Amino acid sequence: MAKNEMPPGSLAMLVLRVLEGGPLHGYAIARRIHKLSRDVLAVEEGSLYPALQRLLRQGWVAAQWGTSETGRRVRHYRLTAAGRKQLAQELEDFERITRALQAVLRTA
Amino acid sequence: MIELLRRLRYLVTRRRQERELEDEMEFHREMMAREGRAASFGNTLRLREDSRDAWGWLWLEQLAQDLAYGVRVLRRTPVFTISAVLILALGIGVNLAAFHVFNVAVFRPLPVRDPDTIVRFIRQSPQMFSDGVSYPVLAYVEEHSSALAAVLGSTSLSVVFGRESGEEVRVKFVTANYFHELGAVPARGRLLDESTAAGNDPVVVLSHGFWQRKLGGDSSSVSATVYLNRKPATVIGVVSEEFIGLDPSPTDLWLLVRQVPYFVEGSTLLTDFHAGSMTLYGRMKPGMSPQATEEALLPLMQELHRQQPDAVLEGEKLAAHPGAYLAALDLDRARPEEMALAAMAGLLMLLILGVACANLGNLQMARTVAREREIAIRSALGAGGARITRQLFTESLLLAAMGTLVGMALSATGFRVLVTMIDASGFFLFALDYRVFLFAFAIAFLATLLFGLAPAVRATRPIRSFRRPGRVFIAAQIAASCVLLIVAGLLIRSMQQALGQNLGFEFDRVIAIDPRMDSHGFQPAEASAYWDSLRAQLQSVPGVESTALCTYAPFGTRTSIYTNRERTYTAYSSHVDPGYFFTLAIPLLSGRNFAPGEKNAVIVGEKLARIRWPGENPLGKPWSKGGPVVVGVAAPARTVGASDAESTEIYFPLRASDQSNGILLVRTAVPPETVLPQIRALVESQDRRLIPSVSLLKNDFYLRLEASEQAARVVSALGILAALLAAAGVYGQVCYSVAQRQKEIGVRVALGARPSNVVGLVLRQFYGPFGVGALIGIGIAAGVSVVLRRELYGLSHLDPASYAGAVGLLLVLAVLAALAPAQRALRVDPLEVLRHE
Repeated sequence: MAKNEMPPGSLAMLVLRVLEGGPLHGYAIARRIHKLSRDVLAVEEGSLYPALQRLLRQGWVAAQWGTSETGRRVRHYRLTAAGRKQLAQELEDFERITRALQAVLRTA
Repeated sequence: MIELLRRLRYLVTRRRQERELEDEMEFHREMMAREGRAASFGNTLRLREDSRDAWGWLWLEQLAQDLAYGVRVLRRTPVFTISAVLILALGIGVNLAAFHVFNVAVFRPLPVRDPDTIVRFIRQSPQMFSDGVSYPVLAYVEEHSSALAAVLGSTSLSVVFGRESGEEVRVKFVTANYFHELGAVPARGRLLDESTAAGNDPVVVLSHGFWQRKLGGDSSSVSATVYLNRKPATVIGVVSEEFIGLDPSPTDLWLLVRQVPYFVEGSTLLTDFHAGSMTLYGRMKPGMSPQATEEALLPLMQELHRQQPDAVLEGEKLAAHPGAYLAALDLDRARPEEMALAAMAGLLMLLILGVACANLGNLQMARTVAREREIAIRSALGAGGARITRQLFTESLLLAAMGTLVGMALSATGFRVLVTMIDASGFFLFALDYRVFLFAFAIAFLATLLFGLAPAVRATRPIRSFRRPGRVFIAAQIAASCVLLIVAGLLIRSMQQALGQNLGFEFDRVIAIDPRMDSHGFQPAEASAYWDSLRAQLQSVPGVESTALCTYAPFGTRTSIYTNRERTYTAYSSHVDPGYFFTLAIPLLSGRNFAPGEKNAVIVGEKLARIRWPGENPLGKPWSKGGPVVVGVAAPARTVGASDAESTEIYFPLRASDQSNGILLVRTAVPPETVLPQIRALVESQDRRLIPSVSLLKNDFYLRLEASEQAARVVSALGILAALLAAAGVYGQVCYSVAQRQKEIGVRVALGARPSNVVGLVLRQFYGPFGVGALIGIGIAAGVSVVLRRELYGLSHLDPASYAGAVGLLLVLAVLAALAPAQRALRVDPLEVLRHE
């Protein structure tokens, strides 16, 4: 399957969604997005980190130190209450826009 | 808000965060490798940078980088840095000193308790206003008014200090509550208060300065006896150094106003409703505004008018003005000429800054060109145009900051110099308050914009040479220097004019005798007898040619001015006896002199006659309806408004009532210094109650010139400074130009160009800027000098000699500055230069 560019700003939304299921560390988040998108979305794995920093700054995500499966010290990210609210907002916006786009494409 | 806290936490723990992120990304990579996934991690460095930027502190980091870089760059070229800082310090320092004087005069309250509740009262009525209030009115207000928390008054009279021959000292007579109400503290002994007033012993308080100067700061001064107006008084204390009362004019001694009759024999100050010499102050009750206080006092004034209809006029009120500020921005009372002069002074200061900045701007441009490589490399490494511009601008800010610091130190000295010139008291202390800092900050920023912005912006564009901005900067410097030099020239020439000039009357050999009989309560008959006796004795002194009585002495500070509604003339008036014109050698152009005892006559100055009755013969015409008739026209004689070339005169005959406040003028055939001691002895022996002042008119004249002289000196210094800066700028520019065009010059010389051609080639690009700059400078100076007209002693503000002199001087300086490097151009060896190709 050809890899496509992710629409800008959607990475944050994906990260928040992924974290809804529970705290994960950076690599785990990347792996999950990768798996769930079935390889469609092409994203530099590293660009996850700036996005995580932005989420931390906004307070939608909080970080905590823990240990990984391999016994290494690693940072776990979890969704905050504000983050949950933000996710709901973004999902709503996204769906609204998608519906509008689809409506135009179908009938125009 | 919480987000800001998060961001601040990040800022503080920056380094740790970076390390942790690095670890995380390292771990991520390891995991990817372990699971055999294609590594598409991305550019680690860029990702780390992006992560950092996410926190919004990029601007701070960049600023820190720019500053550190700027410091390094400036350290590498110490000569440039030091000269730039000095140039800026001069320009900024001058402005700071001037602002400081303004700040202290206008904003700083006098050192008294609760300055904002103190008001000063002016008598105001539909027909007139007057600064002075009579003592009985003051006493009445104090006794009957509940509108004020306290009533204060002071008056200055001239008093002679010393047992036998005395010198005049500056004395203030004050109400008993003065010191206490204003919160003054004694440095020694105690101060005047109600209890000292209650006792009848004559007491005096010394000012700190007087105590140090005259009595050597001796502690035994307290309770010593001193002689004032030949009357003994006991010193009860010395007031502290900072105290100057409510009047900035320096005071040597303080006395109780209740004791005036003791010191000034026969004085009616305490009882005369018509003597208006007290300055009345009050402290407002808490919560009351000045307007409310004025209203509360109205019924009092109305009652006073009923009791004394001549002394207190109909509709008269006491208008309240801020009392504890030197020069409160009282805009309705400020005269437009004073404001204009102040504005002009400010402009001149800014011009110096302008020259400094233009100079520096050129230097910065030259450096930018020299740094072409460095900028190109930074550009190649990814710095945007804006980034580079910002960094260069930050360098300029650094220079401005350093220049401001040094400038503040310089301005402290400059301020002290200015203050000693004005002879101000200890009030004008240099103390930094927030306003000065704000001004310094604003000036520094302005300066940076002027000299730093253009070079910073141009640095990012491909630079061939910076001919045009360089020329603009030179033109600006020439213009600014021109203005300063022209104004200086005008002031200097007007001084020459004043000294060499014929003011229209003889003052070199005239002595003025002022016994101030009115303050001693002399009635006209007594005064007349005094004068008759004195004049008879004076006539018998060898060397005395003639004497005359008048009410306002030439070069005096008292005067009376007549003008009409359209203000087409300003006529200084005086009441004179018939001998006046002969004594001062003022010719009568037509008509005749006053006859002795004549009452209904007036003699007008020639200019006044022309304005009032153009084209007609003024003789026989009435001055005002039913008023005195013109009997003569006098040649112009600027006895009072010496510097004001627009003024004219009007003379009235001496009245009987003028005898008591008259001044005697004595003209001598010999140099007046030779007969002065004899005359002085004669005058003093005439009546032991009086302490007359005897002075040479020419000394009074020089005193009045002093102020103008100082102004001329200051502006000349500034002008020379600016011109030197401009010359230095020209020198730098020519050097640079020669360096730029080395190859061209080499080729031309090789092809046989003559030395004059080469020099001409180099200098040609400066003719334009110099010409334009000079023209602009002349234009600005012509406009600005209109403000000076009143002070120029008759010199036209467009005086060609001043303008030509200023431009000429500047031209000479510029040519000298340009020739040196131009000469060096001639020594360029064509072979050397061509080899460098």
